[in-house]
Amino acid sequence: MAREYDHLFKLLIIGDSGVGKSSLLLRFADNTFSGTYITTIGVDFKIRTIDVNGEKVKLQIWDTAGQERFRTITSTYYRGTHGVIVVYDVSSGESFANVKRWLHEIDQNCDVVNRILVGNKDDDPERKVVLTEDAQRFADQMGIQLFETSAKENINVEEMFMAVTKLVLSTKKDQQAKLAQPNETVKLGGAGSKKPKKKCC
Amino acid sequence: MSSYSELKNFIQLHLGADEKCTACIQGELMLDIVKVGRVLAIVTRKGDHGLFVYTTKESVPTSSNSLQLEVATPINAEFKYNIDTEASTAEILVVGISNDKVNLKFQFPKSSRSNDFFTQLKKAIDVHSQSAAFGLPPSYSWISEHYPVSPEPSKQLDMTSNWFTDEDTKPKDEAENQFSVGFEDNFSDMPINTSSVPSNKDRMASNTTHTSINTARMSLSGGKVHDFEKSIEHLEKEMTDSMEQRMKDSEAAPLPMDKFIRMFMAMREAEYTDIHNFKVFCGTWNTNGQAASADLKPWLSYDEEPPDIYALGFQELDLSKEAFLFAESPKEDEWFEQCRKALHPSATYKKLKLIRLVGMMLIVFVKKDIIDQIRSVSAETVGTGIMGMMGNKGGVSIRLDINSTSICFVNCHLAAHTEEYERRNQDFRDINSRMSFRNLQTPLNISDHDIVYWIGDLNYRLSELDVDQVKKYIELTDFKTLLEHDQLHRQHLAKKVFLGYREGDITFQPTYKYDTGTDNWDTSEKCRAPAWCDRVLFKGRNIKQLEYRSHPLLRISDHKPVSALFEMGTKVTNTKREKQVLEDVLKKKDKLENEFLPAAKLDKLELKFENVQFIQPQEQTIEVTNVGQVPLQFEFINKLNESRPCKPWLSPRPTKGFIMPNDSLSVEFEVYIDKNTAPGLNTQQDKIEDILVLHLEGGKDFFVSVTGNYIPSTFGSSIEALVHMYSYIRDVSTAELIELESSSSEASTPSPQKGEPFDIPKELWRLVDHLNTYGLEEENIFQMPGLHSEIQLIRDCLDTGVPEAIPGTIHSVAEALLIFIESLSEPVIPYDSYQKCLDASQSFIQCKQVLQQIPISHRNVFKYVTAFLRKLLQFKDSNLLDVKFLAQVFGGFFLRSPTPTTDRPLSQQMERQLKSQMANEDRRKSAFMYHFLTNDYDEQ
Repeated sequence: MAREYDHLFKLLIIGDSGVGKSSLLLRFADNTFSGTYITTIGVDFKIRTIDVNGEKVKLQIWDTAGQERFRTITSTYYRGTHGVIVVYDVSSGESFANVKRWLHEIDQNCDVVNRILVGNKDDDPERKVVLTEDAQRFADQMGIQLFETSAKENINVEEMFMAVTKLVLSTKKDQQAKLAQPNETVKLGGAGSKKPKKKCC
Repeated sequence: MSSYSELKNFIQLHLGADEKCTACIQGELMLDIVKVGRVLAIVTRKGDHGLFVYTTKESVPTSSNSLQLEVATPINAEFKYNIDTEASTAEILVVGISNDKVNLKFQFPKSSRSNDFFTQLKKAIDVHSQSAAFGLPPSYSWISEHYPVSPEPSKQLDMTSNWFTDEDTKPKDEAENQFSVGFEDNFSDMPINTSSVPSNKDRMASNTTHTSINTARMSLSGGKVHDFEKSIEHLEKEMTDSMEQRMKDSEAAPLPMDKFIRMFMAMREAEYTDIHNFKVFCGTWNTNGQAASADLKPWLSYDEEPPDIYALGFQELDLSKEAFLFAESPKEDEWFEQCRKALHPSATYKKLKLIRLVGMMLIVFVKKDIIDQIRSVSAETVGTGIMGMMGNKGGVSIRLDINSTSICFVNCHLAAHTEEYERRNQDFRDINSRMSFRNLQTPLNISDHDIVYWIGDLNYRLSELDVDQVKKYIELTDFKTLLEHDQLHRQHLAKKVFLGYREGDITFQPTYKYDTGTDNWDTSEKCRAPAWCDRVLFKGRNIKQLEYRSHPLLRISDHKPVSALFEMGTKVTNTKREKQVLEDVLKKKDKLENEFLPAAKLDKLELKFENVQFIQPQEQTIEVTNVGQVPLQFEFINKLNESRPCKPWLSPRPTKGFIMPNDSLSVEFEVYIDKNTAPGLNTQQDKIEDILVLHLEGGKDFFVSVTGNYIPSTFGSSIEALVHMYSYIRDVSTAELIELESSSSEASTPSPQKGEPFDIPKELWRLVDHLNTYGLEEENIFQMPGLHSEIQLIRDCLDTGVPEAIPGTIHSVAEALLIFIESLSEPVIPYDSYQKCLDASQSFIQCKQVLQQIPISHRNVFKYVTAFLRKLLQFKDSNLLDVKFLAQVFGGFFLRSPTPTTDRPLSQQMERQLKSQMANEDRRKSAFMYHFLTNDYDEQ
């Protein structure tokens, strides 16, 4: 218990306006839910420390404004992010259709980052228009894990954040393992090919 | 997560049999741009110490294989470490470690671990300086035997580049030389893991050494490049880790969170620990050097139930000179065997530990079936006898952990003689302070234990009573009166000794001094008064004393043995419940941390500025309230790739501020369109639209949106657009306006769409005509400022035709004319002719030639205004105008530099340069203008 945490990760929640990004954060960080909709104008963060197999992982989770007009500004918040949570609303086909754009946004702003796809508001089958199978097929295509959650009913929220944390943690460990591993080959005197400088992450 | 002891074991597996890792710590090596995980270990062999640095494959090593020795350096006179107090924070310890060749910087999380590690490191340095003072030569050859067989030469060699940093700055040849010359030195002092560099022995034996070194050197350079890229590629995660500090800084922490967690875990210990009880038998006997002949069953198997733990202390076990001078004593085995035989027959016991110092011996036996609950067994001795350090008096001690409870047994023999009770107190204090279990991962003293049993011949006597009185009270079994004279009892009450210890009620008669072999009081010459020399004290929670007695049947010594039986509760951590409590504590801590983040409320996040007009400021305010629990600092921050937080026509005031909880602050937003921003807004290239980012230091960001509309004005338009504009600008539709402005760059030739252009903008004509009609003789024309409100009215007159006649004083009209010229989106002398005009400023003819090249409407404006100025100068006696003044003013307005002035801060030299250049340009602008104020343009 010497250290407050073993790892500190920054997560970012993105997605269309009104899909429930802030609600997911509130549910996860404060275990609360408010039925009244307050649109996020800006970016906010909360912290939560979780235990992953005995390691304390401190998460700093950033919630961003989803509105189109803020898109250029919010894109600057991708910097230094370890994991991105892309949220759509299962009762809004449009928000699901926009997921592609959000994923593109990630590609534009991050080089290597763990991503997870979240269909929120999965608590009313009557209103669900994005079928699980369709979302799953899309997620498989993109190579992303899919979670269907409800911040309102507290369904799958904890599991989703746990999953993205584990992804980030295992990426970190892979990188550390790579670092500790021997170099494959050494080119004598060769400078090798310079990789372009990474933007972030 | 591997524990500290596991990590230590992993390191130990790398070491030789006679080498020992005394302390280790996980930290990060701080390189220029990244930090990489390392494990540091202090390794000792025969009193010499070395510092070993290991790389790790995983963030938390899971086996000895995950550690790879990177470097090992002796802890000698050259070895130094210093704690960088400036770089260290409440949580992070930054330490520089260096010897004569290298200087490395590490960072460690601050904890008791790091404290211990650096205590040990300091000790190791002290040991070196002490032994050096004694002239003892340290031997470090064992360290150099740690060259690992490495499958990764380049990586290892890369490390050499870290250690031999001075190489990098030298030319290659020289560096190579340096490398081979300095090789042996470096190597013997500081071996580096590398298989491609030959070991010392190989080098001696081989003539091809130099070649090998060159090869090594070559792969070094190759490897370095490779590794550098590798660092870039793979360490980016680590780089973002360096942001952690920044992120952490931004989290307002009201409490040191580490402390918080520990405090709450300790407070809630009962929730995740169970108490397991054990029976502990503590026995003490001063055997007066007698042979181990007696059967000890009456002492050790006195009770019906078998105890779980025996702690048996002996004093004067061996009074022989040999025992004093040599470590060996045959009595040790005899008495041990005698004890072993007499242990309770209904249980099986194992010896846990035996420790002896001269005549003081302590044995701990435990029941066989609890042995796997016991950890970290250790024993130490302290001599307080002759010279304050010999073992004829003092203490021996055994410590152990049962589950989560630490227990220490101390057996002692304190100073003799009735009057020497102060000496006995001192002996107790010495044993307490000097007894240290150093070979544990964290060195412990007696007082660090949860439970202490202190037994032995404490030697405290009965004061103020003579032998007969004592014997009389004993006969009466009036132990209460006798105890009032007991020195230990008195000293304990006076808090002079055994602070915090307890003792059971004494209901047995004094255990000293008897005639050997009998139950008779001492009849020797000295005829000592009886006393309770032999005692058992204890300290700690969850202990119940069940028995406290002497065993008079054992007669071979002049003391009787004493025993005490305890029921001892030990804490057993339920890891599952502990995890639950920890999670709960973490949640509470997170909640607190979230609550203590700065929080603000803004009364609005959108500002709408309607009908913004040229040079007519509009203001709105936003009320920022601190609704959090901590003081708040806010700032409007620049957006990515921008040097200001907002568009130039907008200014928030203040741009940063500090608000106490529950306080508010008004931020004013002013929109002001001036000559610089008007052209863009006229042509709709810019709009009254912006988003500002209001950042709370260590907290969230708010986006403040600004929207609105701008009413186009002739001010800020272009000459080309104005000469094609036949109606007032307000009557022109936006689309038309854009069309006019966008085609204004084209030559102002008449086109079917646009029709015949005016010679000059009608607005200019109106202003000049007004001045020509009413102001030629106006004193100080162009020198007196106009009235702002009148200028706004003049603007409306020109833009809308209302009022019909130009309003205001001559000075206001004159200033409006200047503003009109100044705010033209393209200056009268177009930007691309600017330099040519300056170059031509020496010659009127050349100046006129340049003017021939500018668009006709611009030339018309130029001619028209200069003609008016020349006319003004004819009235200079009345209007007091001066040709130089006019040349300067209008030169500046007609000729505007195409390079915009920068608002970036410049170096002093740059600033001086720029100033002199501008002064030079200004001179030439005036010169240019001067020609036209003193000569008629068309005159040949």
